[in-house]
Amino acid sequence: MSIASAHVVEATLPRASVFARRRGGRRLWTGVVLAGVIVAVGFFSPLLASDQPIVCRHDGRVHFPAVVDTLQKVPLLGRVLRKSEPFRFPGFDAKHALAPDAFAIWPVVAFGPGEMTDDLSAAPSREHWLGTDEQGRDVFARLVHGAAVSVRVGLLATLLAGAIGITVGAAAGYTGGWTDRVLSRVIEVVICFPAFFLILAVMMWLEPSVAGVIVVIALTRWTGVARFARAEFLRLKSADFVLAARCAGNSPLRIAVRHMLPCTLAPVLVTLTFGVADAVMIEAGLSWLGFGVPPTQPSWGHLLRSGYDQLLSAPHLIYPPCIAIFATVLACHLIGEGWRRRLDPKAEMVSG
Amino acid sequence: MTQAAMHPTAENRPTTDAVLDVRGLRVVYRSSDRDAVAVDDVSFSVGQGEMLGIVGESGCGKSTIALSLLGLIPRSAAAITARRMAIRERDSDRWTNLLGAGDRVMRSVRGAQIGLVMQEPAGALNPVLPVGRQIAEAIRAHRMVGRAEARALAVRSLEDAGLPDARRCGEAYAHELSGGMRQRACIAMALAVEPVLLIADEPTSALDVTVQAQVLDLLERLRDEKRIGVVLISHNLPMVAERADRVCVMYAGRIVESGPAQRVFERPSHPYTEALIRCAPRLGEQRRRLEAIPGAVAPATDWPVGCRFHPRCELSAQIAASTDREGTIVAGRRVLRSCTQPRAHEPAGPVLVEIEEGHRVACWERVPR
Repeated sequence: MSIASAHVVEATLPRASVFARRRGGRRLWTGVVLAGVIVAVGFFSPLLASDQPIVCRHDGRVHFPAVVDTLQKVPLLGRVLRKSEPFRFPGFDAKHALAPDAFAIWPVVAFGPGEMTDDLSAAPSREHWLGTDEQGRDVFARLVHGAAVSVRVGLLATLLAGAIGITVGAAAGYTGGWTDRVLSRVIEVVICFPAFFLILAVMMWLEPSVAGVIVVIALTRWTGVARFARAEFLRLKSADFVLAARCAGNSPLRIAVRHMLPCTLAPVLVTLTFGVADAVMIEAGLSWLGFGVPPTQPSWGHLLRSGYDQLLSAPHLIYPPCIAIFATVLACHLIGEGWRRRLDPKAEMVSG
Repeated sequence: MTQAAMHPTAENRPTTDAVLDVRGLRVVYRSSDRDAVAVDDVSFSVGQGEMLGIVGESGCGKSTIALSLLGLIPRSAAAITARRMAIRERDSDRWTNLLGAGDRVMRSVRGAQIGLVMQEPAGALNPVLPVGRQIAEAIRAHRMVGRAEARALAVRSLEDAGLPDARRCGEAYAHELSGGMRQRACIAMALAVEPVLLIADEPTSALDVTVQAQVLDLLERLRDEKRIGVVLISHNLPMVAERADRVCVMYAGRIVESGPAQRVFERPSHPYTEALIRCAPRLGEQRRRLEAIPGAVAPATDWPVGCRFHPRCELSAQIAASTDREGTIVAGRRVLRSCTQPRAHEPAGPVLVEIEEGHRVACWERVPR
């Protein structure tokens, strides 16, 4: 084999980290760090603010109520793990039930998101870092727990929308012909509806719930991804490697999933990061109007509402949710934009 | 290489060990205004372990033949008819009809019985899948094997295709390989499930000259070792003549000359074949200006009436100039009037006539009726 001397170029190019200091690196990094902080705050919210201690000794046993609260956010663990008695009882007031001299480590802010105190619309203080709302609930606790709701809605709604969008778009682009015509019209019809009012109309009929918000957002926001996926599949359909895959006897489904999908994934994921920002804003908007997350659960939209209602009497209430929403949207856009630049060979070779 | 494969019998009878048999293939692309007859009454067969070259300019219908054999032309795009188009399974007498076969049948044929190597190896490999994974996918499409076994088979076929360090190459992405290695990987993919026939559609056109020879050597080796029938599609007649056992020269959707490769190359009879040979540079030759065939292949929507080559035919022009036979002006050149008119028994132009054993030519002037 005379070609034996030919060399395999060291595989550095594609395997280099996405976060390497290349095009759009700084932008991407900033977004990732910001998003990481928000996700972490949302996930560890019971450890940051809760009306139950992280660790305590009660009736001769050691309990970890806030830790269990945190772990229950892990999808499957929530079904297995239960808080120990009496902390799992709804009306249990740990602050008063625990003996004053009992060993207990409390979260940095010892208030739960739904816990009402006697300080109504209090200004920020040492006890209530960001003050309290009109029902005497700690704003910091609600903000932190609201992050968990926002992150969950943003990610799950986008994931669901992405799944629907990729499936519909791939089917339209790859099959072509009548399927494409019908699916494209469906996409256009969904686009034509003003999404927010459609969601609003649907939510009026539904009991407010986080799952409902997620599904409704997903069912109206999948069109962008679908159009993108359709265009990508249409473009790839005529690629030589797809023909080669067909010639090798692969079935159409196999070609679509194994050969074409990986090629479309990167650009589609970029558009999805922008979708997360949209979903977070829609959720906040719905909750602000009272059609989103149930009032028993903390949401940035609810915070926004109470801040808006008391804009003159308690102006400090409006800032925290605004900043939180802004930071989340900014993080998504930084990631999306940085990633897009990273993938775009035509973008100028300047970092940042 | 048996003697039978080296010198196959005449064209209209399939060779006894033929793996591919095509009779009277006709492909008509449908378009809104005019139908395009891309392939018109083409017959050929390929024996086991035989290399058949199909030579011609762009637009002659070479690639259309490849695509129609693989059933890759959508039914809505073209009407494909033939008296027979079938492929024989390896070492058996079971023929699979390729004409009008359903999607399921064609999928089992592609890859498992017919492999295709394309012109552009860079485009034929998926940019986001490691080469070995792609080959393993092709194997798993046909054989009930697990992932690990498929991967091992993929590495083996990369080795067969002469890739050094096949295991590492299998883990590499297409852009990490050189052009020649990519084409070897493509060949490995086409042969992963050990088909009986390999169609190589201009396999060397996109490659470096030094690598071209290696890829052709590889095809020859695979033909001999694995007894694979190879259809080598190219526009380079001298190269094909050197490698192939038999050649079919195509012009305007029809075969104009066919026969044992060496004989066609040394004693070309059709004016188009002669022109093709003059077009290619030859080693050890005095410096000369390379000739070009004047004009271009007519669009498939309207082939010239009579002999389809007459607007560009040197022979016809010469005879018209040197004899008192009636001539006519076509595209600014004076050619024989008889070449421009259809004949009663040959309405679509001259048919192939045997001039010596296995050597057939379709020219009214060279082989007077």
